[in-house]
This record gives sequence, structure tokens and C-alpha cells, in this order.
Amino acid sequence: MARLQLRRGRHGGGGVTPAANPARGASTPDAARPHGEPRATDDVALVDLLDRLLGGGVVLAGDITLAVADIDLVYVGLRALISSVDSAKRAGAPIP
Amino acid sequence: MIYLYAITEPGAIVPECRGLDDAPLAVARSSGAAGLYSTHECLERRPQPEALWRHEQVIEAAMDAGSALPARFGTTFADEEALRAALERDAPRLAEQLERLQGCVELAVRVAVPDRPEPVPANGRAYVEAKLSRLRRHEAIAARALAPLRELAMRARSDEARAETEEICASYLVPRDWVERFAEQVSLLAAQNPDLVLSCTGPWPPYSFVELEAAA
Repeated sequence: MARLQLRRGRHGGGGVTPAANPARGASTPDAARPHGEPRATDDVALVDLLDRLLGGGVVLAGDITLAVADIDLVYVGLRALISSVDSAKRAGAPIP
Repeated sequence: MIYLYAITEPGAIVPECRGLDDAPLAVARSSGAAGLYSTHECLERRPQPEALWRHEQVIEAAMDAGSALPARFGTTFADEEALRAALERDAPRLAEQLERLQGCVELAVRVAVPDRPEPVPANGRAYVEAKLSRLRRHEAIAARALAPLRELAMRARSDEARAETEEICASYLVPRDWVERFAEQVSLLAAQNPDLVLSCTGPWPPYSFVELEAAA
């Protein structure tokens, strides 16, 4: 069963789904997004963000130190949430 | 110490939002690039979700105002002088990247391929071989399913498959104006591949498409 989850959970963030931003012409999705109250974090988005923040980005010659043990804890504590949009709706979860 | 969020154009304005621990943002400027940072007496650089989202939010604010390269989480310098020295040293490469990545965002796509019945591995070696074979099969299936996305991206790259869920992951560098078309294409691919589960998050700053290592 294939289901599409096009969304972006982040604090004050909006979604990528075209339906969520129907009035946008050539403007960027980001420009329409308010920087407001934190929303419930999204597990899949957080894991995608984690991969990128910790494994990507510019490494400018400075000090990069992370609490290494805590990285393991953060990963262990996350579940990649894959569910169909239908079942998420049935469960009453908000779909951005 | 100072904490770095992003590399921006030399003339970039300071975004109004706050950084980690609600610290105000500042900019260190060099000839080819600037560094967006905040100053801290002490800073717990643990990758907790709050801090990660705040780091991300600052980069997005910078990208709203102009070209910006996301810094890896946890980058610190002793002081502004140290940051400026690093910027000067890498100015040509940073300036080139700022221009190349201007107006582009990153989209993350994942493909979950359903398991098919397999014999129980007889031993540890068979287990590992079966896992590897499954990974190769999933990679091939995902590559075929996602091939049309390549046309809608400046660049694409395969990422590490997820260990737990065995999902195949890929990142795409996409001009902002193409994001909706990209999203529509992902919807279409999901419909065309009913046995797969597709997931797409973003847009993100182009973390996976910056050149990582600067000269020491």
C-alpha cells in the first residue's frame, strides 16, 4: 500500500503539500510560513532533519563537539513513523 | 564562545529571530562570505530536538533573506575573530557555493519496500547475506520508482538506508520554484507504485549538497 506523506513538522512550519498552499504562485513555500508557536514535532521529519544536521552542512574549521553518548539516545528514542494518510486520519492525527 | 548557524552573503542582514537559548543573532563579515552566529557563556551542545529545530529555524530565516549555507549542528568558535579568520581562509569556496546553491532547497524522499517471504537464515552469515541481498533489491526497486524525480532536481544523491526500517533514502536539490511540481510528482509516483510507501519531507536547507570539509 503506498501512501504519500508530504509534510514538514517543525516549529511554526508549513507543509510542502500543494493542497496546503494552493494560492502560492511562484513564491517560495518558506516565505508563506509563519514563525509562530511550536507545533507538535513530527517523527519522520525530525529523523530526516537529524541526519542532515549531524551528517551534512558546512564544516567550517572550528570546534565541533557533540555529546556523543546522547546522539545514540536521541536516535534510539525516535521511531520512523510510516503510516498511511488514511490510518493517520482515522487515528485523528492532524495532517498538515 | 560563539555558535555558528549558517554562512551567508557578505552583506546579509541579521534575522530577527533568536538562536539557541534565545540568544540574539549576529553576523561576522569577511570579504567573500559572512557567518551568522550567537554568543554564549556556556552552551550545552546536545542534539536535543528543541535545539535542532532552533538551529534549523535560524538557517531558514537566513535563507528567506538571501543565499545561505547551513552549518553542521554543533559548530563553535572561540570568538568572532576566529570565525572571521575561518571565513577569510575559505572565502572563495564559500562564495562559489553561495552562488551555486542560491534559491535551492533540499527534499528528502524515502521508499519502503514491502517484505516478501524469506527462509529463516540458518546462521549468522546467512542472516547478513540475506540482509545485504534485501538491501540491494530494495535499492534497485527504489531507483526505478524514483527515476522521474531526477528530472525535477539539480542534483540527487542516495543516502544511507535506514537500519531499522530498511527504507531507501535519497536527497534532491531543487530550485524553490520547482518544489510544488516535485511534490506532485512524488504523489504521482506513489499512485503508480501502490505496493511501496513513499515519504517526502522538506523543504530543507541544502545540508546534503554543501561541500563539507573546509581546509584545516
